[in-house]
Amino acid sequence: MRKRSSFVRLGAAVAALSALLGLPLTSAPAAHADDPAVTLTTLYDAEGSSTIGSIGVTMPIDPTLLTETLDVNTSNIIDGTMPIPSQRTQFDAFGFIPMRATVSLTQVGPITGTLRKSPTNPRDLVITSDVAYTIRLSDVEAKVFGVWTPMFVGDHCRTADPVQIHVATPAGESFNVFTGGTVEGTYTIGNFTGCHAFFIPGLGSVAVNALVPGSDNAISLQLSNGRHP
Amino acid sequence: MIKIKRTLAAVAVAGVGGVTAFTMTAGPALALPADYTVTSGGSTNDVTANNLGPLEFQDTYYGWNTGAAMVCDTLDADGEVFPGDHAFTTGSTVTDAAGQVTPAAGDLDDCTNTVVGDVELTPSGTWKLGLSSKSGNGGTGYLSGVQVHLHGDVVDPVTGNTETCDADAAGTLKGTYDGTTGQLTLDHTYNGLTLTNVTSSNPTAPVPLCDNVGIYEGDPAAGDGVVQLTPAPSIS
Repeated sequence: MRKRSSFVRLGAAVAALSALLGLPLTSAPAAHADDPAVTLTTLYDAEGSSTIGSIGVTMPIDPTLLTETLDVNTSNIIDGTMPIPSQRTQFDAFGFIPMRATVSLTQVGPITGTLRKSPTNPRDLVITSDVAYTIRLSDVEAKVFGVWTPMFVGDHCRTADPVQIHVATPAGESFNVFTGGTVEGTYTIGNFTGCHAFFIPGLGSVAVNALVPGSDNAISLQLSNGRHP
Repeated sequence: MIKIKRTLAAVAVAGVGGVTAFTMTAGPALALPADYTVTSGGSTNDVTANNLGPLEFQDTYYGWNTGAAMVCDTLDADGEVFPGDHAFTTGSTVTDAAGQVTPAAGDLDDCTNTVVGDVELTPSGTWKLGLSSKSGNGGTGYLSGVQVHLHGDVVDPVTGNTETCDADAAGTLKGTYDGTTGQLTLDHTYNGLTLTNVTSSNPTAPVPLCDNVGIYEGDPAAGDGVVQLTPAPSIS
């Protein structure tokens, strides 16, 4: 009882002070969407492939784990991770020189995105996701006179800026929180930094930036087996 | 033997220039042949219903294994059998029950949803079991009067805030009863439950929680698993 009286007096004092200062009293409770986030984290199995147009190679994205955290009130994906296993990939530089390299991707920042109702069928869902990765090349080799020969690009050959990847549920498809679905997108690989030019007999000095960067890149992922952590 | 006493209600027929009333009453009780006979498995007619392995309930709007699934690891309900002759159930509602269970809150427990995590399924009502056909010491059966309230919530691990999804499932489950073992094996292809009163606590969200997990008003639902009746009532 005493506590309540104190509270009432405090309320009156605040009201009087607000009136004096010409300030409005505290407004009604915030709209639901403004409430502190209630998050739901879900795990998905993920695998797929990515095509790098500049060198004409499609790399598998081996099975990995996507962890995404959804803000239940805004239906926005506010956090997430998806490590992509390194791949040893082979391609033909300039269309005729066999090369191979280890491609490693390191996620930069969280996965963000949206979960929304499909515009064509409101009970179906669609998602978008944005994530950035730094791409690193290592163990680059070229086949010279029939022999795989190391090309010394250095230990710090990576994209100068993280590669921004945006994927979404393809048109006409849907996403199911339990069974998952397909997401697809395109992305641009910018210039690399920290790479030594390498020398290929008969061709001369070759820069990584002359080979890999480009905008003609695509990614497709199949998400499945949605589950509570 | 089932005895049905039929009384036809008075039929009033308005005739030209007046009213004529007829009253017809059937004669002696009408005895129908029994379709099957139930014998209690114990010294009393009491029976318990427990799960034998997980019991699963799913929203089957898009079919089994495509929507929200609730898996429960515990069913412990009391009921009774009705020894004697019974008529086959001809529809989806059991009118001549071979037995019934009356599950209470807490009898269906340890339930989870793969995405949300822990969920609560609160059963109620009287679940009546009747056979629609007989095969050996058992047959195909319906469990009608099923009522289950679903409550799922997402609790933010940091803020402690909660969002919820609630729904009622009601209707009939279908299964195969084996009177030798007392096991009722549910048939998940029978979508005899209907979801109503579907309510999300955040209805203004772009995707409210119930919609997120694919639970919509009027959706069909089905059950899967094995219910063990003890002691096992036998069928002849």
